[in-house]
Amino acid sequence: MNKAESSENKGFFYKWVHREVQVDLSDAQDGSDMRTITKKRPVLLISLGTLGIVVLIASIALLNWGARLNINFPAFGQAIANLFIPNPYRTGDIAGWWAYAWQQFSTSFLQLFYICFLGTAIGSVLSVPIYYLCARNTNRVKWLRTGVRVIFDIIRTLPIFLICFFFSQIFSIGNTINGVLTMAVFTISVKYLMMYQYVETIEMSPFEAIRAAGGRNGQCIMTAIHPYAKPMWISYFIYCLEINIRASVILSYVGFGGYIKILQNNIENNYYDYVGAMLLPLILFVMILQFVSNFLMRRGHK
Amino acid sequence: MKQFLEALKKPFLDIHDYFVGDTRGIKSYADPISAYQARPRRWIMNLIFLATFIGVFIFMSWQIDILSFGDRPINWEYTGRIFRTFFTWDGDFWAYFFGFSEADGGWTGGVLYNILITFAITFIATLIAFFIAIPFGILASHRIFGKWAYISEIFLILIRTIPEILLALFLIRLSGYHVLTAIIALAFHSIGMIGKLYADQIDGVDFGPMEALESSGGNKFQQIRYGLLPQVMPNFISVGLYRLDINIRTGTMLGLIIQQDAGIGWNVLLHFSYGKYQQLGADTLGIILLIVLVDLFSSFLRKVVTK
Repeated sequence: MNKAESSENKGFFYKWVHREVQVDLSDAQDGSDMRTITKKRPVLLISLGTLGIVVLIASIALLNWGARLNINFPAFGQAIANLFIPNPYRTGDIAGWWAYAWQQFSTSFLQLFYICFLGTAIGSVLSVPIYYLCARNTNRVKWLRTGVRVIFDIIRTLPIFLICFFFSQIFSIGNTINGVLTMAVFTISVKYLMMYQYVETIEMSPFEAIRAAGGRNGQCIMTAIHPYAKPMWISYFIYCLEINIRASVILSYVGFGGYIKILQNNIENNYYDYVGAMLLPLILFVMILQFVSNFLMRRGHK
Repeated sequence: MKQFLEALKKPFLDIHDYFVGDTRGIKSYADPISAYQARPRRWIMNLIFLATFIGVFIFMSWQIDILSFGDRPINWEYTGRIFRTFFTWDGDFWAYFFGFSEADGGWTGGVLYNILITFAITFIATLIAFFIAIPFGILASHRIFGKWAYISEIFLILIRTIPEILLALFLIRLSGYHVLTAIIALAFHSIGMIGKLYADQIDGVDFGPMEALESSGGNKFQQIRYGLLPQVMPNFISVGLYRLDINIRTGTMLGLIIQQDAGIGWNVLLHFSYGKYQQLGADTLGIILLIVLVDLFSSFLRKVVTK
């Protein structure tokens, strides 16, 4: 077949998508049996790469690189070192450092942890009906499913400090209930999505068996779906608790007091020994929760 | 000795069977009725668990003094006025949104410019993390490197532990109130998460090509380059796009810390500090639009890549 003819028949983009390669099919590889074959180019990879480069160049061009750049490695190194070096005017000695760490842990950090835990618990319990309403296999009513999903997709886009701002306009600023409700809304918005995607992958034959034996909708879900979803619910509970503790750091900017406000003040005043003593429980808690949630998720998926 | 141990275990196993139920020690019953009567009393365990949970709940609520919001009555009129201002979408609103309002800083103070800035910061940070995480992800794969993978895995967990916001507050000492600080903070945290997801993806692929390369004399680097990367690259791109989704949510917060030139967060902070609730509504609309658009775009590309 004539090559030129074939490429003309297949449209103008044929040459962009395909290329011709000379290969030697002879055993001795001496060029006695040369063939011309057409290979496809990796069009998807090339187009994605082009798109990425274009967006990257546009992004770099858009950002303001000139202003207020102040690279200072010694100051950064000093700040990191000062986290663990007690200052004579504040913590005094290493015993004072530990005393401050314990004092902050037993008062302000535990309060933050309680707020996060309560918020996660309320949100996790409230998310149960929502993810059963969103999952395709437990709710057959399409308009209800789509409506609930759209509402919570919009709530999911709100950043945590805006949610906290709305609550602080209803209850006045400085109440702990702002934090609890913020965490609850945030947990619902994280959890319903992961849970309904998990519920949709659950094996449906027990559900159908109970349906065939005459079970109502609630009975089918409670007996055939809920026992499978429960372990995942618990592992996502710990995952959400970890996310909430990490995300709560931003709430000091919307007038939320306690641990995070003290932490922010200490950082802004360069009291780095205080900061190090305060960060110790936070990092330890997050790390422990991360190990536990990793372990539980690995078990849950198996 | 063995019988003694069995006798020691028996009451505990009986209690376990009575309350929780277990079929490891198979028991047979003469008829269905006696089997039904010997069913595990699971509701007792559930009751104990629920009581503990409610007890912890009440204890924590009491500790943080959650009912103190009742000290000051809720001013519904004030709240209603604020939310009405929030949703007043008139000419001023759209002028500020598209950056024509000189009182709010013109084009560079408008919402449209700032959400583009937020997207740019997030995109650059995710792209950097996408490439830097590839070696860490491969090193953290237990199927390739065995027990040596724990080194990289623990390193990735340590990276993930530090919140992005705190990292940004620290990095201000390194590079000042600059866009670079935001990019480093986001990228650093993303490396931990992307690396872990890469390792999960690698553990799920077919290892035939790598074994073929090993049997024909390829070293570890060649095996990974020609046997592994071509098949996991679509999954890696999908992970990167998924991370772009999550980073865009954090990226909106970075403006609070890095202040000017770092996206929509600075506008939000200014407007709720000065009580400009209409502009705050425009900011919120911008954030929602940005996140929804990036979400749709990334889920579309993920479908194309991994189809």
